[in-house]
Formats: sequence, C-alpha cells, structure tokens
Amino acid sequence: MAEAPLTRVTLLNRIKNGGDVDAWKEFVHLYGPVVYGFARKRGLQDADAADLMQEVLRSVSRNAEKMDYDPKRGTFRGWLYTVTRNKIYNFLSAQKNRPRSSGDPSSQERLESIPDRDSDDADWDVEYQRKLSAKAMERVKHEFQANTWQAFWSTAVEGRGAQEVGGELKMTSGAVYVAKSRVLSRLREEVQRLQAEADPW
Amino acid sequence: MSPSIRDRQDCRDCPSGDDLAGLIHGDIPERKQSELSEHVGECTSCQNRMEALATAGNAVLSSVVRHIDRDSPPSDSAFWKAIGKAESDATQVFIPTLDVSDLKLDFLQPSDTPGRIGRVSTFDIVRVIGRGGMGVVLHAYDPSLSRDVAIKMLDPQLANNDVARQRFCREARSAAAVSHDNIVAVHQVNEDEKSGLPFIVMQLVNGESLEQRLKRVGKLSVAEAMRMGMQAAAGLAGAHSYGLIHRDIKPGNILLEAGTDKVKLTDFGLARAAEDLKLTRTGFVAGTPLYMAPEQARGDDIDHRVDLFSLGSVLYESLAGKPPFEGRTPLAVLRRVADEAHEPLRKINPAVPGWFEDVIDRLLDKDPKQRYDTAREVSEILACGVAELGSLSPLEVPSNPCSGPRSTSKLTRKAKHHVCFKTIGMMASVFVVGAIMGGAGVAEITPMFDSPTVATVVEDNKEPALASAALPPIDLGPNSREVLKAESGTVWSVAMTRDGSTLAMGIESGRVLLWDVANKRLKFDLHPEKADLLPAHAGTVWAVDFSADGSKLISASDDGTVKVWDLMNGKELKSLPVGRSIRSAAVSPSGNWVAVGDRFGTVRVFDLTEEKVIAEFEQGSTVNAVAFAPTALMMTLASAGTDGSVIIWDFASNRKRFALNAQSGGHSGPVYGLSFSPDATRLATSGWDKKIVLWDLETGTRLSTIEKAHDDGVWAVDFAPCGRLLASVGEDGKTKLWDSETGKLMKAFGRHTGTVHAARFSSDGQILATGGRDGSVRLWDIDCKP
Repeated sequence: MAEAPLTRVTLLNRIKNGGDVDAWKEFVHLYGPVVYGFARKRGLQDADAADLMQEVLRSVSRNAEKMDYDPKRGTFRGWLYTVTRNKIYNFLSAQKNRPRSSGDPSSQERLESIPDRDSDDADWDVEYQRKLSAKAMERVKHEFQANTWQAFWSTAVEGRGAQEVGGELKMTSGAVYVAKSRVLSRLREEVQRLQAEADPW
Repeated sequence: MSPSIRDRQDCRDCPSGDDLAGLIHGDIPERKQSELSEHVGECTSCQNRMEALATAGNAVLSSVVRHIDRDSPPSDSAFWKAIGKAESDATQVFIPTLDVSDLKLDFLQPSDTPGRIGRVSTFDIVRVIGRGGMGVVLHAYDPSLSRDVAIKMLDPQLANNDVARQRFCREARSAAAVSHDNIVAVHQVNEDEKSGLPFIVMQLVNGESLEQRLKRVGKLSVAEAMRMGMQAAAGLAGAHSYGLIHRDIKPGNILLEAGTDKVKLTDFGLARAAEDLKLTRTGFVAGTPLYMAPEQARGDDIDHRVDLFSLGSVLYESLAGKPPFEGRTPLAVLRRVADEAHEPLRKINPAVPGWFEDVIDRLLDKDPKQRYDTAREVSEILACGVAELGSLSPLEVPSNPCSGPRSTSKLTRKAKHHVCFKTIGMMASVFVVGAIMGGAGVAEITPMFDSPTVATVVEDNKEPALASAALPPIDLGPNSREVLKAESGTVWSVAMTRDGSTLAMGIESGRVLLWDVANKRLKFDLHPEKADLLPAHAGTVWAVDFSADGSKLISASDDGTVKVWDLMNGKELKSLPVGRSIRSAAVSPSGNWVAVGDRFGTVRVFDLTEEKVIAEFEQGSTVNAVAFAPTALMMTLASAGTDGSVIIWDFASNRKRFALNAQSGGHSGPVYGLSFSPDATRLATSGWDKKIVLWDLETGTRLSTIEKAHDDGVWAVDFAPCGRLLASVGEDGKTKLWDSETGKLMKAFGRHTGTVHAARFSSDGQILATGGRDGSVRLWDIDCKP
C-alpha cells in the first residue's frame, strides 16, 4: 500500500484509498457548501437542501473506491455536479408527484420550466468559486494589517463607499481603493493556488 | 458630484498600468505612492483599472466576494447538522460498514402483528438497529416474556460460510455463559428454522455507545472517564474469568445505559470470527486498528491483555478527544500502534491527574508483559479514584488515589494499590462494593441516616476522605421528611399537583417520573407513544407542570418538544415541536400557555390548545429561566438571560415592561432563577453571582439584595404561597429559606449531595420539594401557611 513517491497525492486519491479522515473532512467542507448552495438556488428549502447535500456526500463516500468517472471525460468536480443535478431533478420530480396539498408551488414551477443548462453550469461554478474565495480569504486575512483588511471588507464585501469607509478608518479614499485592490490581488493568487491543488479531481 | 472627479478622456494625469500595478504591489517609493493614491481616490476610471489589474484572470472574483459574508447558512439551518454528520462519517478509519438500507430482510418471516417488519422464530422484529462485523442487530419483541430484546443474526451473506457460522455459534455460546453487570446479557443462542440463520438473543440496552457519546460531546470529564473505565474493566475482568477475550474493545462496543451511564460491554467474542474471515479473504487486517494491541495487529499469539491495551486506547480517547494512534490509512495506524509512542495525555488534557495518566500509559505499553496482569487490578485502581472523587466537589480530582507519593517503580505501584484497597475497606464498605460491582457509582449512595462518617465523606470537600476519617460531622440541618430516589440522573424540575398527592420529576436523561407521594411509590415512568423503552423525552426535561385541574402533566425538554400527558393512564396526549436548543420552559398557571427560552436568546409563548406561537421576544442571550406571573398580573412573563438581564414582558400588548440588569442593581453574571411573589407585587431573581435580588414589580426597581446567599451559584428561587418565605437552592447543594422582607436566613438544609437545581413549594405551602444532581427529590416540612 506504499504510495509511489512520484505520484502527486491528490485529495481524490486520498479519499479513494479509503480511511483518510482528514481528506474526507476537507472534501466535506469544500464541497458540502457548494452542493447545498446550488440546491438552494434550484429552489430547495433549507432542510431538503441539507438532506440532498448529505445524500450526495454519502454517494461519494460509498463510491469512493469505485469512482465511476473517467478522468479523460471530465473532472471530478464535473462528475459531482452531474450527480448533484440528477439528485435535484429526482427530488423535484418526486415532489411533483406528491398530492397537491403538500406540494410546494414554487418548486413545481421550477420543474416545469426546464432549467437552462447554461445558467445551471454558471450557478454551480459560482458556488464553487464562492467556496474557494471564502477559503482563500481565511488563508490570507492574517497577512494584512487590520485596517487594510477592514477597508477591503467594508468596500468589496459590504459594498459601502470608499469615502465613508475612509472616514471611519482615518484613511484617504485613495488609500481605501488601494487597500481593496491589494487584498483582491492576493485573493486572486490564492484562489488560483487552491484551484490548482484541487484541479486533478 | 465632486467637481474633481475626472473622466478618462479628460485625464492627462492618469498613471500608467505599470504605475497602478506598482501601487498594488507596493514596490514604488513612498512619495509616489501617496501621489498616485490621491489621484486614484478621485478618479473613477483609475479605480476601475486598478481593480481590473488586481483581479486579472479571475473574471468573477469581484462579484463573488460581494456579500460573501451572507453566504454562510444561518445558525439554525439544517445545513450545519448535515455537515457535521457527513464529517463524522469520516471518523471510521476501518472499512465502512454497509448501509442499513442495503440490507435485504428476506430472511425474516412475515409477521402477524401490525407495525412489525417480520419475525424470527418466536420473536417479532420491530426494526433494524444496525449492521456491522458479521451480524445484523435487530430490535425485537419477545411476546412470551413480554419484553424487548436485541437479536443479533449472522449476516445473511455469510450464511453459507461454515467457518463463519461455527465461530459465530461457538463464541456466542461462551458469551451466553458470562453473567456480569457490565456485560450485555445474552439470553439464548439459537438457529432460525426457516432461514437457517443462527441468532443470539440479548438484552436490549437503552442508551448510547461511547462512540456516539464522544461524537456528541467530544470528550468525557475525568470523573466520567474514570467511572467508565472502572466499569469497563470490571466487565472485562468478568469475561476474562470465563476465558473469553473480547478482541474488539472500542467506543462502539461500550454501551452507556441511559440515565445511569452504566457500562455494558457488547459484541463479545464475535470479533474473532469476523477477523478470521476477513483475513482469509482479503489478506488485510480487519477490525478497528485504532484500538488494537500491537501483538494483535502483528498477528502474534494473543491473550487477555490485548483487551487491556484497547481499554487504554479508549480511555485515552475519552480524555483527549482523539485516539492515541491515528493515521491516514489503517496500515498507517497499525504502524504507529506498533512502533510509535503516543502523545502524552496530560499535554492534551492537563486536567487528567498524574496517576491516571500513569495507569493509561501502562495499559498502552507495547509489551503485554509490562501492562497490568489483570483487568480486575485496573478496575480496583480506578475504583479507588472514583471513591475519592465522590468526596470532592466536581471540580476537584483526586491527586492520587489512596494517598502517598507517586512512585515509578512497578513493584511499589502494585503494593500501594493493595494498601488502597485495605484502606477503603475500613471506610464505608458499601462504597467499594457498589463501585466494583459496576454500580452507577458514588451517586447512588444518598445518605439516608445521620451517620457522621458517611456525612463526612460526602460533605467535606476539602481533603481526601480516606486520609481524614476522624473529622467532626458537619451540621446538615434537619432531615427531609421524604427522599424520592430516582437515581436516573440529575433532576432539573419538580412539580406537585394541587392536592399534593402526585409529584413529577423532570430528569436530565429525558425521563419524566410521576410519584405517589403518600406511598413513596413510582406511579409512572412516562414513555412516548409505542416506545416503551424510551424515556419521555430525548433530552433534559427543563420544566414539568400540572394543568390547573390536575388531569394533565406538561413537560418541556431540550429535545425541542413540549408534551402533554394524561395523568390517569400516563399516555402521551400531545407532542409539540417548539424549536431547537431549548434551555428553559415554564407553564402558565392556567396550564394553557407554555413559555420556552432557547440558546439563541429567543423567548416564545405557545398556546397549547391552538398549538401555535402567540408571542415572541428577544432576550439577547441564552434564556436560562422563564416564569409566568400569577393570574393577578395577566399575561405577564419574566425571562432571565446569561448576560445577567431579567426582562418582564407583557405578552398581551407585546411590549417590554421592565429590563432589569446590572445597572439597575441586578446580577453581574448569568441569571438562573426567577419567581413571582404570590400577590404579584415582587419578583425574586438569583444567579451565578451568588445573589438573590428582590424587585418591585410596579416600579421595576430593586427592593433588596441578599449577597452571598449560597457558597456558589444560586440555581432556583421559589416564593412560598404565604408570600413571606422565599426558598433558594444552589450549587453548594444547600436549600435555604429566607424571610423575603427582611432578608434573614430562617433555615438551611444540606442533605442533597451535589448541586440542587429545582425548588417548588406545594400549593398549601406545607412542603418544599427540591431536586438535583444526586438524582433524588427531597420533601421538606415547611411552616408557612398562606
């Protein structure tokens, strides 16, 4: 069971080998929210989305050993996306067949209007990017001075004006913009690195 | 708009892309930075250009980041629990067990009884409990003896495997021969005629496994771990004396009985068959490598001492929150088990006493000859520790059981422990017997007699009991008239019917007990519909109260439900989900409303008949207590928070009447107790800061304060019906009666062992009922007529 030293041990490999607790946890924390967020966007209620997320993750763990996707045909992430979409579709069709009184009218509409494939893809990607960015933010935050980070946060995240924020932090609005860009730039790097780490999936 | 904002076309002073990049990277001289920065502050197009440069290559970054803080699902979302569950799927290092849903139950015979999923021999199968190793465990009902049992059957997939089969039966028969309080009892071993599958009928244990417990709480307290270890070792000692080696001791096989947390070892001797099987099939070592002894992992000859190693691993994990040897793959774990030393326990958990760590280290010795010789020894040593614990307050741990300095020599260690045993023998011997026989431990010994020796052990929390048997007895005050011992866990709430005939107890284990007071007899141990073995609730019962007409009991629990029970037959009438994370509850005098306070800081009032929320308020911190005002003050409610706030609400008009906190002269820490005076003119509050404060309800001002009412936090206060007396109970185990007007202490009672949580006067004011950590309720005679 020794690992070939030249093979990069990717997260996926670690999960496939079974029993790697840390890899699994990392996987859960990275993809759980993506699946959940995507399910919510597709109209599932909180509890249903959480259940679906669990189902998808369980599906992965069960099939970890015999992961039925072909690396040549696409990434693991893409596979996960397909699994998720299928489960959501199943869920929504099951809902459709339930008696009227318990049916949720909005999900009914959603089912009837065939989801636009492009918007589906985009949504999934955005969820994934969100998760990556959030992780990147956690990682780079400590590299900046408190004021710099706060300037970035108040403008880029909270959407407030540079002048107002500058007034609070005793920075010129120019400095606020610079701070914002500095953090964004660092984030961009970090997201890129995270993506590379996760890419072979 | 500011006149200085310029548009790109007009801009001759806009810096180049390189300059902007320099700004971002900070690699240009200070002065130029300031100039550029100032320009950027006023030039929209440069702002955009700079940002574009910063995010180049990632088209969505700017938009993704916007409001990303709102991304996280709210705290009450189902998402968090689901993530937690998904994560814990990962904590099984060994080959994951098959999902129960994959199990085909064809081997079951059809059942005549509705609600049952099938039959095996003469047993009705209620549901599948789990699947693992080589068996399936089913919850079944034995109609001939009218009892619920657990049935373990050989996995149908292994039915044709003779080796597996023989081993299953042989080991099962040995397990059936063992009879011990700490081992799940095996009733019979048989073979189902129709399916040909062998099965074992065992005691059904109501509770959770140590594995489930650790998943929930992370780790155990030193006292809990000690007690658990002692009982597990006792169980092992019993089995070893019959020649049985468990071979698969792990948290999943250590069951903790609901209420008492008594250890019941399970899955005895069956591991062997599974192991042999898997060995031949896959060539891999199966089972749980996390707790496996090195000699076992290597496949060497083994003896009973492998169980001692596993016990050591389990104790380690219970105290450290993680197993002593971890690794990415089963083989990595085994390598560590065989070759590497474990991280010192006290480094991870400094609360563990040195001698206890020594015991665990010795259990974890790679050389079986260096470990203890017998499980009995280990059990006795831990019993010493537990006995000492009983005499100390929960925050203290014994510095060394049986006194004397720590010695590193193995010989001296052994000798010392024998001394310990003798010394204990001189003390209340009933202690030791109870402990070693695997009883629930110290909590069971509730002093009923005025025996000074026992009183000393229990009350004196300064020195280890064993060293000072000759201390003068402490005055405990008058004895209670009655003691109702539930011994089922901490009592959190008590209530009495108007006529004083029935008393209800709400317990931490979720049990609700109804007592016939006059005859000191248990009338009902309430159970939910169709679930005779389960306690009334799945979590601490914070409040119990009788309806005004005395025909119903209302209970509210941490499990998020409020239930209504019929007192005639003990049946559940209603179960209302009222939200997650409930911390406190109260029932209105009319019995129609229930107020519930949760850990998110919200107070909700429910109408029990209409089954809906009629009012909702924000406290701002975990709501520790809620109370309805007497009918004189209609629709008024008080709630107490962990931030020290006490708020009086008028929920008819939906407004806050008063907010009482530290500034108004209130509490400087969490408030735990609330009580309205019978004439609704005053409110008494009590809390962590040891104070009792009395408030005027008309003006919302403080009337008086009793400082240091107890030696520690004051958990509850209750006004007597006569209005003059106020009772308080606290963490110091004492019950006190005060003159609410003068603040003078009238009486003090000390007979509870451990924190007292609940206090309630009877309607006629003649009796005060108190209940707490020692699992009992005491009834005190009071002289205060309304």
